[in-house]
Amino acid sequence: MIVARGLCFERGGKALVDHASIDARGGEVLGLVGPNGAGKTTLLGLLAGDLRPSGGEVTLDGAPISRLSESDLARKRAFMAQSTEVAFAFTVLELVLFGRAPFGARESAEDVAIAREAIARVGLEAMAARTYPTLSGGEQQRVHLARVLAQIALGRTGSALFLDEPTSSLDPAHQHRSLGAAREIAGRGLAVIAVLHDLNLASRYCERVALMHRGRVVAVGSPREVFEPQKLEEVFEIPARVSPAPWDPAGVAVLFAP
Amino acid sequence: MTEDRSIAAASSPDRTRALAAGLAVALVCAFVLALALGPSRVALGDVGRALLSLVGVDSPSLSESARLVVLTVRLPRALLALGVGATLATAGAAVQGLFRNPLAEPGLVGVSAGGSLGAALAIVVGAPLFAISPVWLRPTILPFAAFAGSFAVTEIVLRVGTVGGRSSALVMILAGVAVNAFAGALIGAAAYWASDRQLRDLVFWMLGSLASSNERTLFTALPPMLLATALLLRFGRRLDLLALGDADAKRLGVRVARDKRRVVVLIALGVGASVAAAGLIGFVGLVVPHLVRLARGPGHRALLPLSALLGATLVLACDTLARTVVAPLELPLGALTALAGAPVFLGLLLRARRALA
Repeated sequence: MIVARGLCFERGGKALVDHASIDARGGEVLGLVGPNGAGKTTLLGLLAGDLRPSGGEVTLDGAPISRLSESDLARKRAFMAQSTEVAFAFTVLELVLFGRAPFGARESAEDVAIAREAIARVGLEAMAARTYPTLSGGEQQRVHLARVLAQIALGRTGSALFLDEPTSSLDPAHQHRSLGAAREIAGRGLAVIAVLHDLNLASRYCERVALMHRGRVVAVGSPREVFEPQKLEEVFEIPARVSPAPWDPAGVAVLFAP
Repeated sequence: MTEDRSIAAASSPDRTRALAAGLAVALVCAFVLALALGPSRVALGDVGRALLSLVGVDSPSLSESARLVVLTVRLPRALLALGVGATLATAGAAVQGLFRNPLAEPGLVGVSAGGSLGAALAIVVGAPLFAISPVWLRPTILPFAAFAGSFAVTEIVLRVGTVGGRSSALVMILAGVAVNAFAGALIGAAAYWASDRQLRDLVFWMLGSLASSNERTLFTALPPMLLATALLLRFGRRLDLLALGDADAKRLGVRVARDKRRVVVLIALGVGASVAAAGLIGFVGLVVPHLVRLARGPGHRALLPLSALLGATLVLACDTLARTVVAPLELPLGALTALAGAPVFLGLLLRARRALA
């Protein structure tokens, strides 16, 4: 469980995150949503221990995250960035095995099995021996998802998976496939925190969502509670319609239309 | 090109082992030839007998002159060639990993120039320092000056080339160009003030040669080279992870700032010692890791040791050529490696230019 209280982060005199408090519980997917520049990525970095807050504190299972070493953190949480540039022509399997690096200098047969399973989970098993530069943008994004899935594969309760727009380059089928994998991780008792732009994906896959606006968390709750037309219009500055979701009458679907 | 390699370079340890075994055989062959060939040829059997006499197995059929030629003339030079080749190739692979750029090379980014500037200053300006130093310290002044020069330049280029936590290849290579020009100018100035003898020493650095190697250069330069190379081999996995960039490497548990610093110190130590022993030997650090990557893929845990083996073999073979082709004269080794390496570099550029442009 991740608990953040009163987080602040400034850069260049501007408050990117402003007194944000939020919990991420094991067993659920927490979505961070909001318009561009709302501070979602910065908050994700603060929660993951990547960035040091200028105020407030983050605890992971009760321990301040700032006290954990890089290697401890690497065994407890995995983080998929918006984009990652790979410098050399590594193969898909090699890159996904990078996710097992925090657990030993030499990968075991078990590590290879974990990596292969993660590759299959994102639907790249036919491309395991391909080199990274030969892949399409969406395939490259799935490689990095497989890498963080391999990193967190043996994680127990108390571990966390952070995803920053994990579906931005993916076609609809792979968007659902990837978030399905994230759900599975949460189903094992881990906390999953994902920045998402598509509110319908958030509505479908997140137990709770946090709506951000100008560095502040303006609403936290179930998608049904948070996705209110008036609130969305105020934050996204575009008229929004909310209706019962076709896939689940208890859920909500959002349509933005000027 | 990446397509066919991806199939060839499946990450199998067997392939690495086969390549390592093949390179080790080539290295032994090059080593034996280096000891046998020269103005006076020594039979292969006598080379073996001379080496055995080192460990106390004397054979009466071995002539004293052959023993002397093999053990006191050719062996120190061959060992230095091995050390220089292994060090430059390993340092080259490490520089490329560190800068996240396959076109980085100790010579290109100015690390070698920094080393030779340190050496040049030690030769010309450091003469008084030499005079007041105790005798046992004197052989270490030059390697230390070369190390200091290499270290300073690597540090400068890495800092200038890192913009907002990301290393920019363009900025880094431009910084290398500036440093190369600066070091070249200072070396030129040092040459202007140098005495005739100092000038001869200087020319030797610039061209790169193992001609003046003897047991003393062996004992001062080989240990730091071997130490730097051996320690660099331990950074394979961390260099792999750095290929994802500093932020993602850190998220995978790498202590990025500390490890980068350590790699910089080791590169400077190795390249500095190599420059002190042999002057500027170009292109080994660039071409060797490239050849290994083509055969085995980019994983640094295999790339570093295989580069060390291939670099040692190539420099040893080039040095043997350098001193036998136009005997009794000698070609400068650095000119020979550049002569062979520059076309290979151009070829690589032609293949990769679409990705780079």
